[in-house]
Amino acid sequence: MSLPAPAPDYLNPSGPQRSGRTRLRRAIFAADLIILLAPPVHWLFSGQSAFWYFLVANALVTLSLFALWATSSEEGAA
Amino acid sequence: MNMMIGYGAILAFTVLVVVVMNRSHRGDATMSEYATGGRSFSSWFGTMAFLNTWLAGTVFVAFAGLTASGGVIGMYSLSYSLLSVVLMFFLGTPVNKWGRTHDLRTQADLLGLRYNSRSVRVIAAIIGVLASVPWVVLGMQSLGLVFSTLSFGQVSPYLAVVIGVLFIAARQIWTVRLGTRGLIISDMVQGLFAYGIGFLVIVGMLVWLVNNGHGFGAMAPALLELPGPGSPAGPFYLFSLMFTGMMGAWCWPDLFVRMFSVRTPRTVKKSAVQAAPLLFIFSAALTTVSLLASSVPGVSEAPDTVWFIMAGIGGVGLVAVAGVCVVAATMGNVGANLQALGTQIANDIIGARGHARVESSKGAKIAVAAVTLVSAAVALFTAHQVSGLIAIAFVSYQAICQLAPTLLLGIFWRKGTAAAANAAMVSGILVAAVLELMYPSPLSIPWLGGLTSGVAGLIVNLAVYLAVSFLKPATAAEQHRVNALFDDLKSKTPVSQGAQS
Repeated sequence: MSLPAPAPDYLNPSGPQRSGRTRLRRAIFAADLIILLAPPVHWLFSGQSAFWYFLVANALVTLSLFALWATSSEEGAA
Repeated sequence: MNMMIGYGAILAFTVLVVVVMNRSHRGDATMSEYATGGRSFSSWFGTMAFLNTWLAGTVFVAFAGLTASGGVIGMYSLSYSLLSVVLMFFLGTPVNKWGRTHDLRTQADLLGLRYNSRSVRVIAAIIGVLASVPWVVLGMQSLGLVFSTLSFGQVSPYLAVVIGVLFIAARQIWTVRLGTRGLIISDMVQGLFAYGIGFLVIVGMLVWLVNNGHGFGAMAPALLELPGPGSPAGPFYLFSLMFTGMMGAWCWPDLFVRMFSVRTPRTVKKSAVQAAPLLFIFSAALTTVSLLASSVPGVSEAPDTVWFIMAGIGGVGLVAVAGVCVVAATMGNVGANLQALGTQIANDIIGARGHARVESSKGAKIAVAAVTLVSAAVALFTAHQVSGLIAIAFVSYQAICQLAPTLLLGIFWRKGTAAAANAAMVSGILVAAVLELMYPSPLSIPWLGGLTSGVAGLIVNLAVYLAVSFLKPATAAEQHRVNALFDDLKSKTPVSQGAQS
């Protein structure tokens, strides 16, 4: 009976490193929800600023996808 | 002559799509191959399949019209679309990995696996089919505007709807034959035209609008207001629209199965990352054009035609290109819907009656053909009474988003049970349907601060799901099976496929 060889560290982040990334991904997701969904944020804008709110907020969420990708280097990591 | 240019452009584009689809043809005798395209596609195909399924032809017609008539609130569709892409990123690993490990072919298939329940699988499949058919019918009918416009007055609106329905129904011959592989290949061609060429057209329109005095200053001030506290729609109305859209996105069977078709979980995530900027740039540009065009003569009288009114500035050729953009986007959405619905009927409604898995694609092909014929027949018979169908479509949207707690909590939370899922789906739909009939869309519910029926249903749905899951937890054996499913996600190699008890 033999155990499989451990993956190199760069392929298999340690527990704290992985949980840190998971927390970061959850924080990004929460920020996306607040920016786009929170009614008090919607109430702040009227007139032309409402248009710019949608544009900037959606641009930030678009950029957040790249941040999520950067925190997700592992195949299969949720 | 103008009509020949318009109809000829659609015919030429359709021939191109069919030729490309046929070149990709491979054997797809098995249900799994037919439903998932062999789980073989790269991230760019995943990106375009998502976009061509999500951004239907209605974005150029109904959604553009909503922005032109309702103002800046029309940008809500961009917001919930991007939140759906964020969800796609998180769904990628469990959906794709469970799909490959357990040979899942449909959304209902995944729910059947997660909850180990035939009833959850069948109820989810029936909800998916019933909620989707009105949208397929509307999608078919929406081509009427294209064929009417491109005839340049030669064809009556009713005859244009008939031509549009027959055209899109005939196009499904290749959907039936080639299954998901053919669809995803065609999504690439259709998507490049609809959102690539379409974007270039939009940029031209934007330049024209700015240079001809149709800036924000020319807009009616009311079009730049969002509903807030004290507004007739209510303070939570905008939130409700976006929340329902986000939660409902992955409840659509046609969109969900796209995550089965790409190679790996990482491919799904990469598809999402690539889709986000494309979706943002295209949709932001289109909604900006629609918004600024509200001051163009004729748009306020017929906002749904804003895309073609703007294209008309460029002459017959540009109108033809604009028409092909709508057709290309509609082809992707209608084809994906019909293929997913047919497969779901064969695999999860008829197939769930037997104990053996359906392995042949023959039943799915027959089901896709049958759904196509039924949808086309309904589209033709209701061509004179579209408003009634729109009401049913709104109800169906509020209904399908009631799958969300069962779907999303089932994928991300180990404690949800089959009893909770069944009770939640049924109670959510009943609440949403009753409230929708009492307060038809787009009206919100005044005594709930502007929440829509879908969100009210989701609140009840979620409460029931959590209550039943906590009050009547899964048996030890079932919890062990579910834990094994989730543990599989953390390993490179699946360790278990079910309970051993």
